[in-house]
Amino acid sequence: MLRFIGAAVIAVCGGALGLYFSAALKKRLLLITELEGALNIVREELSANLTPLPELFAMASRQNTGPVSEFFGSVVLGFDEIAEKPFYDTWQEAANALPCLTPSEKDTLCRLGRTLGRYNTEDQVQTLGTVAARFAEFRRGAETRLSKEGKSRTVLGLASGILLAIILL
Amino acid sequence: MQSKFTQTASLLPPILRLGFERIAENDRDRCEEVRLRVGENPSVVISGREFELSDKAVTSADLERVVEIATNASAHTTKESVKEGYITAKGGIRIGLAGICVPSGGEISGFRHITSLNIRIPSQRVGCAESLAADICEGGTLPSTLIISPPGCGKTTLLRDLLRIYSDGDQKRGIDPHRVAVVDDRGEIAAASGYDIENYIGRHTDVLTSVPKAQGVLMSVRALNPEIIAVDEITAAEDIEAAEAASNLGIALLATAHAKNVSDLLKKELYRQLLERRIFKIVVTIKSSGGIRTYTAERLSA
Repeated sequence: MLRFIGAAVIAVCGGALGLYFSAALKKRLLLITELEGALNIVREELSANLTPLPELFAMASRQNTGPVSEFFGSVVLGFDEIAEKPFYDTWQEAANALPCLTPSEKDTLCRLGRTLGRYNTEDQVQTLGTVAARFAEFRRGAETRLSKEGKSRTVLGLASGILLAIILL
Repeated sequence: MQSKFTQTASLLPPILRLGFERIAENDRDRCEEVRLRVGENPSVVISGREFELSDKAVTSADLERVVEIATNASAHTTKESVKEGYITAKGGIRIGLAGICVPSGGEISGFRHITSLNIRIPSQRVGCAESLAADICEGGTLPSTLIISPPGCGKTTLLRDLLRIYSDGDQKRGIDPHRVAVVDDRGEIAAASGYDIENYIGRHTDVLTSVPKAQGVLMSVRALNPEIIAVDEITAAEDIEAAEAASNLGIALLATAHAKNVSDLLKKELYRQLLERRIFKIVVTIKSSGGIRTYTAERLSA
């Protein structure tokens, strides 16, 4: 009896592990989707109102949740120390602290920090558009990966658990 | 509230700030400008004389950092003032720009490379206009007054203190309180940032910031019911038209202009027109020598 309970626990653990990896894919997709949306809103606001960056990012932080809100929030805090720490350094640190992004995605976001806050609004708006478009591509890639691998990870996890349970029995 | 010296220091990145903060305490109130030129050592102007702050040459990256700090990494918000060659930082600190401009449709949209900066340290000398305010007062009120001097002699400082006195009133000197509207196109008179006005300019003062002078004068007339309108540096024909319109409604004007004296004023077409229209009743000339300023008021013939 105990052996069967143990086997069931192993199987369930396998399934949970599969669900965990599947959830990681969903979390990554959610983050990229929010970031893409935030960049588009920042671009529109900057283009329409020439809003100063501290206000722009405070707005972005309020309008988003989780890591994206924290990303913009930490950039806003960086303005308090702008005399000691250049804006780009704050931006880069905040971008690198975002979870779930690949190095290439972080690099794309970091490069935006070199253009923001310059005299030429048109360049800033254009670069924001380019980066948002890149994040749209990243989003599509994440959606595809989730749809292909999401279920299979859960099933694989469960199957591995069951197989292990059988072997141990 | 931070002193203007401290506010200026906070605009400098650490590498430049170090030299600036070594200035002796008793020289700090006399600091007028910080001059930063690429390839040259940073310097400060104290009572009209320039002194080097360190032996480490300024780089273009240093200047970009100053602009980044001054604009809070939002240089795109300064487009209008950049066309005039300056940006205004917190505290009403004006930073003059020089370098390679980016022309766009006959105007300047920005700077491709900044090669030098002139950080003008404003001074609020509360009380500097007290005896002058009493001298020019007529029946408790201010007659329209034009303050003149060459650049850098303290016209804005005097204007600021005069409007403070006339806004608050001064019973001892027989000056009534007045409703004052300030058209602060460069943000230097009141140093307004957000909801705060950093320079005290009187209890009954309304401030319009970052608006062209002529438009600001007309907006004040329409909406603020002022008894006095204060503007800094009349430089254009439309400023004179707006001033005349306000004057015709019985509003007193307090303004400044660049000129050594009244004769110098009359040599310039724009200012000759200003005097011919009899908008101003009094001209105050500022003379500066060794850091000491004297104010001479002259009543213009009716």
